[in-house]
Formats: sequence, structure tokens, C-alpha cells
Amino acid sequence: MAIRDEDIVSIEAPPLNAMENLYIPEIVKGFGITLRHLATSWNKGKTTRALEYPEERRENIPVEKGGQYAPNFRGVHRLNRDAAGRVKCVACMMCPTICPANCIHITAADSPWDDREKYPKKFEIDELRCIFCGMCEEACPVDAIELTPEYDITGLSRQEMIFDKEKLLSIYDATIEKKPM
Amino acid sequence: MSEFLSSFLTGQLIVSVTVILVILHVNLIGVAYLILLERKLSAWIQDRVGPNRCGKWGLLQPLADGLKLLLKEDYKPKGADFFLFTLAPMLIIIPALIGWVVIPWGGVWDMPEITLPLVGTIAGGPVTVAGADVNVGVIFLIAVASLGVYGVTLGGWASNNKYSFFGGLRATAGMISYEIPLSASILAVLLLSGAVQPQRLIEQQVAGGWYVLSQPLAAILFFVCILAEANRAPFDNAEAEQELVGGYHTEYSSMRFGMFLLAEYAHLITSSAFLMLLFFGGYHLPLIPWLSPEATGIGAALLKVTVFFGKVLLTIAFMMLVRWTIPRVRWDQVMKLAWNALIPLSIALIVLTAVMVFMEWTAWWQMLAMNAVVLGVVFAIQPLLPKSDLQNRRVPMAGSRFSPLPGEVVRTGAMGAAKDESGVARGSRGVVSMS
Amino acid sequence: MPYTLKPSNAFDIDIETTEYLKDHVDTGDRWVLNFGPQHPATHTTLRLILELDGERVARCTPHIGYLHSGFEKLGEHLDYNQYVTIVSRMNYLSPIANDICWHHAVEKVFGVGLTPRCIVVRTIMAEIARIQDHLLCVGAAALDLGAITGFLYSFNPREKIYDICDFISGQRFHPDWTRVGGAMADLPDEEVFRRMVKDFIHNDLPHALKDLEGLVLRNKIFYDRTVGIGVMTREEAIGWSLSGPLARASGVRRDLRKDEPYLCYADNWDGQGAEAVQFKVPVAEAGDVYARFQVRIEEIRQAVGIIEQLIDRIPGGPMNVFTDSKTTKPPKSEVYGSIEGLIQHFELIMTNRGWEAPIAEGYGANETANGELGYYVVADGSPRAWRVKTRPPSFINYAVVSKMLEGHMLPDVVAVLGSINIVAAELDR
Repeated sequence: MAIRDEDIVSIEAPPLNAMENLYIPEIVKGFGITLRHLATSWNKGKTTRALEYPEERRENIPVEKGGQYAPNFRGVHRLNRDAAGRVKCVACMMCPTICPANCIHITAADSPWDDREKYPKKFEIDELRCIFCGMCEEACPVDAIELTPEYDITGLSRQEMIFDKEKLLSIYDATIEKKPM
Repeated sequence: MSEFLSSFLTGQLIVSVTVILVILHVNLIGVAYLILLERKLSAWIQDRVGPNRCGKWGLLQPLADGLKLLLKEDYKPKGADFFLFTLAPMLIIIPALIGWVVIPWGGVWDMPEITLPLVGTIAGGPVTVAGADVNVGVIFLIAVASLGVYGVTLGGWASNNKYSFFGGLRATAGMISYEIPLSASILAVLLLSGAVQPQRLIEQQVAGGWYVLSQPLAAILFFVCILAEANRAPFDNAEAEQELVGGYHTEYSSMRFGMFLLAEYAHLITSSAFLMLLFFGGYHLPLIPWLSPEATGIGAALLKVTVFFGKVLLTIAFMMLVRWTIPRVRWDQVMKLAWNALIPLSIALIVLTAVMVFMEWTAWWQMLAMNAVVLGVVFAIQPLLPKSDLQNRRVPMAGSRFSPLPGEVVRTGAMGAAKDESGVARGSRGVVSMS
Repeated sequence: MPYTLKPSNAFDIDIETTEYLKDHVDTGDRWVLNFGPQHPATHTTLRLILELDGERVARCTPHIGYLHSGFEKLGEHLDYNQYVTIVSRMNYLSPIANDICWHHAVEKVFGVGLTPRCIVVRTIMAEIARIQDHLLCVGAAALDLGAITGFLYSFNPREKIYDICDFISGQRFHPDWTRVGGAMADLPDEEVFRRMVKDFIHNDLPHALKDLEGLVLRNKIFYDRTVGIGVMTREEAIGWSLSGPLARASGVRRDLRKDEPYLCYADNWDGQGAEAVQFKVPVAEAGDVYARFQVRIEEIRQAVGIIEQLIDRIPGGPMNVFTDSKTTKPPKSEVYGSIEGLIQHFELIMTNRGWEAPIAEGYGANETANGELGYYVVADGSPRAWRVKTRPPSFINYAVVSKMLEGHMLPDVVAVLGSINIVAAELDR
């Protein structure tokens, strides 16, 4: 289907006129633009877009002003606890299967509790390998693994960045206020 | 002993040495803070915040930068010419520094008679608050300021890097072109004043109005030329980051690079002071009696120094605004601008100024009318000038696949070898055949 | 002479055996300049071997492969939903356009239709991605010519786009947002989304465009550096199979949104006779760097028009298609509420069961910011594609770089590279 003539905007580059050929008027116009920005963004004025990170954080800004939308944000993982404080995961292996980066490692074992058959004896997520796509959260049939609004994780070694079950559960304890289940 | 000392320890010498020591150190620290100013200004222009982590408002940033430069590895590329490689940073910074010596920062100070131990009495009298009261000061400045390009060229050559070499070549070509309109615009002023002594220039401007009023076109020409001379945007082709990585200082690191950086800003100070001296009345501001040449007290001298520095700072801030506003002019267009526009215009200005001086129409409004006429003529004849379509045209090149010489057969097959008409690929040392 | 082509002690280059120097003409004063792969103006890892005569480029040989990361091969190892995380990383200037295009191709092969709501939101996001890409490109065009300020002015509204992506998907840069038959989630809050998009197209974007245009568009310095540089005529553009703004700047009337309409660009997109969105295709005749700049700016304006038509008309209803055909993921309510949903959910993810993909192959292409982005998908019935071939616009457009450059000067190299807007991750895949 060819494009009809009325759907075309013809773009032309008109030659510069006599004023524009003298360089100066256009340059002065440019000064006007830059000076206006200088005046409005001076001393963290209204056009400044920078966020001075450690002091200003996206969590503290309304969503429409560029803040973080906590229920949706894909940050560090956590393992949810059920009402009795136990790990909610049933070791169904859905998240390691769906993970595009292969960063979840689960060792399942017979559950010590009556209400389920399996539980994760070992649950490790390599946070350096993870691409935070959120597919594990989508795949989980029991809402056990979730991504939290936390994003500033640091570590001094690669080993430290492989989060085990206790660490993931402690993230749950730390973030349950920010993102309720 | 004391007689010997007092024989050459004149008031002028004492003042000169003091001024040199103070100016050198104040300006070198000032240069470091100019870099901070540039970073802050550019940040504000671009809606950013700028350096603010080192001290309040980032005021310690220059110290941190300096420390970093000192502690970095002093790297020398393989195959570099060590002697020239070391010499270049020195060659670039020295001319920028000695240019300051003739600038009359504080005008004339009527020094009182002082008595020093060991030396005895030193006669008072008027002394110039400058590094040296050179009576050919303007000529000296032209001579010295042009030396800076040797550092650029040598640095580009010695680095053994093609990008650096390009930068050096471009700087040389730019230098040759822009010396002419620079000197010509100075000449237009000197014709009017009849003096080359900096102090005299200021006195004349105080009496007859600043030369920016009588020679506005020359002032613009001069400003453009010092931008080009100092390798500032939009004429920063010698270092053009997007094209030549870093240009002549691509291979420099550590304090050698720091020297280039300092020299750039020191050059800015020299050029701006020169601009203020020639066109904006030096330390003079209208309606303030202490800023006229007649005021010779110590307070007046200090105020004059302050005002001069303030003016220089404003000019440099304006240069920074220029840098962060307009795109870079291409290297060949820089040359074209010089030879096709600036040089004819400056020559016309000299001739007309000479005529005006001969006719003794040298009041500022008469000169301003002359400038307006020149501008009107430029505006009128500019559309009539022959337009060359050559500058952005694709130029045929031997051995090129897509821009071949006329008559060459272009093949765009595997490896895109340019072949002659019988289909035989030309040997690597073959002669270009044209049919 | 250390810098010329002739082999010397300093440069261990054997002209006879070095491929790119074969058949070159040695006039005795030519240099070979290695432009990249690490160079400020190549944006990513491109490499050009420039044979220079003075500052004129006599010959330019582009080299690719410095950012090869096996993206296409990964398409054979990840299932149809997982692979979206990889295509997202191909053109990182407008990741969400890649997501939409990839699942457009997959849905075409699968024969999955979309819900009207999903079609509208995907169209809005596709246009936002176009704006995102063009903003970077026009900014970078100014940056490469030394106008750093213009670059940052065009970068500021991109922050707003990142915020929108963050809001709908949870990640700023790589939303990985689409899924077969829909999106990873419905809009969290339609009203907030609408306000954010409107704020972006009415406040941030017009100001940024005005400032950028005021700085460079009619400035003689910019004009002289871009007009007449890297000219491609209409015939050449067709011959080199250029697409997108490059082709349109050369006068080629081609836009997949009009030629092979999809999403809201097609008539009757909601199945109830809805009209296609109204927009115009900017076409310039000059074919130089300046024309590409203008075409991109005008495309941003048209994209704003499309978003304005759609933003108040987002239909209700579900975001995702839920079919029994085991090609789309069931909503979570079905997973928890019904045994069929749970089974389908498990089967889709498990490696030994998985997708009931058809045994079919097909090509789906979208008009993304850089040109025609297409995916050729060969499905063999298994949960993973047998082969995925990408038609990246950058790859095709990069082929033309030596044609554009030869005969021009070294400073024009950066102007041309900036105007083609090459993304090396997509180019090398």
C-alpha cells in the first residue's frame, strides 16, 4: 500500500537568509536560550533535572514527578513468609525454569511441615547475574518470590552477592513496610 | 652597599616585582577556579548541578583535580620524541604567563617616599602598577601571545599519534590565519590612539570614550580572533573531542596535561585582559572618580586592580557562554571565515580608520557612523558575493570506491576493489589510471 | 615518514597481506587512521579504517563485530517470553520498541490477536519509544558537532520517558514489558499513566525541542556543517535498502506504519471498525545530514500527534488475551482460581511441556525509530524458536557509511555517524 500524497509532509531546508548568514543574530538567539536555562537552573532552580542521589532518593518523590512506584518496581528479590513466619516457597522450581539468566538455584527437600510436601532447603539467587526482569515473580504460583523496591545493594565480593535463603527472608522483613504483600 | 642597592632599587622595580609575584600566584589559583567556574556555568546552562561534593559548592574541587593530576601516572607513548614531548607543555604555558607582565592592572600609583633598612631612602613618584611599564606593550603582547602555538604543534608532533598530529596541524593553520585579522583589528585601534603604551591607551579611552564605541567591528573581530587563538570553542579544532579524541593533548597525562589545561585558561586571562585594555577602557568605569587616571592614591590603585579583574572575569564568563552555546566550526570553514570574511573586513576597517584619522573625524560618534556604514555595506553586498558550493561537496579521490576520480570504474563487490576497465585489480603500488 | 602508509619499523603493516589495504592507491602521502573502536564519536564500539589524504577521506572501511554478544543465538535457547529480555538489549535507545516488535512477530506466527486495550497501550509505548530514540539521535547530532548543550536539552525529556517505563513495568531502562498476547501486567494506574504521558508531551518535550532547534537549526555553523554532507539520492537509498529516517530523508516514501499497517496504524484495529490513527510521514528530498535531522524532528512531532489521539481513548477490558491454546500466559486470578489456569500456567513454564507453538515460520516487522526492525521466527512446535533472525536497521544502515563518507573530510565523519544513529549492540547482535 503506497503512501498517499496527503499523508506526506514535505521537508525542505530553506537557504539561510541574509541575517542568518551573518552568524551573529542566531548566535545571540542561542545565548538567549542558554542564559534562560542558566537563570532558571541556577542553584538548583526549577529546570534542574539532576537528582542528588544519596540525599535525594526516588522513593521520596511523587510518582508523577519521577519518583519510584513501589508496588511495581523491580529491585532486589525477597522470599515471602507466610502467616506462621515460615518461608512461603514450595520448591516447585518454576522460577529457576523461567529465569532467562539462570540465576536462581533451589535445592528442594521434604517439608518438615504438614501443609506442603516440599520446601527449599537451599534457595540462592545470584544478584550479579540477575537481570531483574521480574519473570520469577510472574511464574511463582504461590507468591513466594517477589521483587522489592530496594535497589542499592552493595557487596565486596561476588560470593557476598549470592543471596541465600536467610538473606532473602531478611529482605522480606526489611521491606514488608514498603511493599505489603 | 646601600648606595649600590638604592642605585637600582627604584620604586618602579619594587612595585613591579610585587605585582609580578602577586599576579602570578593570584592568577594561577584563579585559573584553577576558572575551571570550576566553567564546570559550574556549563552545568547550570545544561540544567545540571555541577561539582558540589568537594567542599561547599564544590569549592575544593580545583584542589582535588590538581592533586589528581599530580598523582596520575606520567605516561609517555612508545615512539614519542621525549625531548619535545616534555618541552611542549612548558612552551605552551610560558607565553601565556609572561603576557600578563605588560598589562597595567592598577594604572599609575603616586608612590610616597619610603625608607628601608640597609637600603636607605627610595624616592617616591608615579609608578605604574604593572609587571613592567613597557612602552611598546601592545606589540609585546602580540609577539608573546603568538608563541603559544608552538607548544600545541610540538605536543602534537612529539606524541607519535595521528590524532595529536592532526591537532597540531590544525592549530598551526589556524594560527597563521588568525594572526592577520587579530593584528589588523589592533591596528585599527592603534591608528586611532596613536600610542602603543598600554597606560596611554587607557588614558585616551577615558578622555574620548571607550574604543568599543568608536570601533565596535574591530572589537568583534578581535574577540573572534582571540577565541581562535586560544583554541576555544567554536574554534577548538585543535583538540576537537568528537573528531580528534583530544587533539594535541591526546597522549598527555598527569601534570603535563595539567600544564595544557592551565595554559588554556591562562591564555584566556591574557586575551581577555588585552580585550579590556584595547576596547573597554582597562580599569576605567565611567562616573567613578577613583577609576580615572588622575586618581593616583594607593586606594585608587587597588580599586583599579579589582575592577580590571572583574572585567576580565566577565569576559571569560562570556567566552564560556559562547563555548556552551554554539557548535564547532569545521576546520576548513574556520580558515574560510578568516580569509573570506575577517581579513577583508579588517583591512577595510584599517583603511577607513586611516581616512577618518586623516580627516580628523575621530570623535566616537563619527567612528561609530563609519562602522555602521561598513556593516551596512557588508549586509548589502553579502548576497551578491559568489557562493561556492565547493565546501561540502564530495571531492573525487584516487582509489576511492564511492567518490572516484572521473573515468575510474567503481566496483562495490567483495572488498570493493577499484579495478580498471579490463577488470584487473590495480596493484597496491599501481599508478592511478585515468581515461 | 612515520605516518604514511609505507611500512616502516614503527608500523608493522604489510600492505600485500592486510585485507583492507589491498588495492589501495598509494599516492605516497596517505595515512591510515584507525577511527575507533574506542573513540568519543563512535558512541559505541564501531571501527572505521580511514585512508586519509590530508583530512579528506579517500577510502573508508567499516569493521563490525566488536560488540557481538550472541543475541540471535540466544533466541534459540530462550522461550518466546524470555527472549524479550534479550531483544530489549539490542537497541537500548528505545528498548520498548524492540519488545513490541519481537512479540508482534511472534504473535503473527502464533496467530494470536490482541485485546484493544493492549493494542492502544502498545501503540502509545511504540510512539514514546520513537520519540526516545529520535531525541537521542538529534541530540547526538548536535553533540558530535560540538554543541554539547543541545544534547543535554534533548536528554532531559528522555528522563521522563524512563519514568513512564519505570511506572508501567518496574524498570527504567529495560522494561521487558511485552508478553505473548499482551504485556507483563496491566497499567498499574491508568489515570496516573495518562497524566504522566500528557505531562511529557505537553510540557517537557515541546520545550526541549524548541530549545534544541533554537540552538542549532538555523545556526549557520550547524547548517554549513550538515547541508550537503553524506548525500544519498533516492535511487541509492533504495539500492542500499535503507529504511526509516535515512530513506525518508532521501525521498523514499516508505513507512511500514502506512505500507503494512499494524497495531493502531491499521484500520479496524479493535475489530469494531475503529479508524487508523492519523499522522503524516515526513519526507525530504535532500538526503543529507541536515535533512535527516529535520525528518527526525518532524517525526517526533507526528508521534506526539498520534499519542494525543490515543491517550484519552484507552479502551477498558483486559490487557492480556487468555486463550486455551496454550500460547499465552493466564492471568494470576485464573492461576489461583481455577485448576485449568494453574495447569496452563505450569505447562507454559515447564521445560518438558511448555508452549504449543505452531510449526510455522514468519516475519514480522515494525517501523521503529531507526527504520525497519524485523524478526524472522521459525517455530518448530517446541517452546523455543528454532531460529530467530533479526533484521536490525542499524546493520543495514551502517553498510552505507563508507559510501556516505568517501570524499568528505574527517570532521564530517562524526556528523555522518551521528546522523545514521547506529547502535552497535543491535548491529553486531
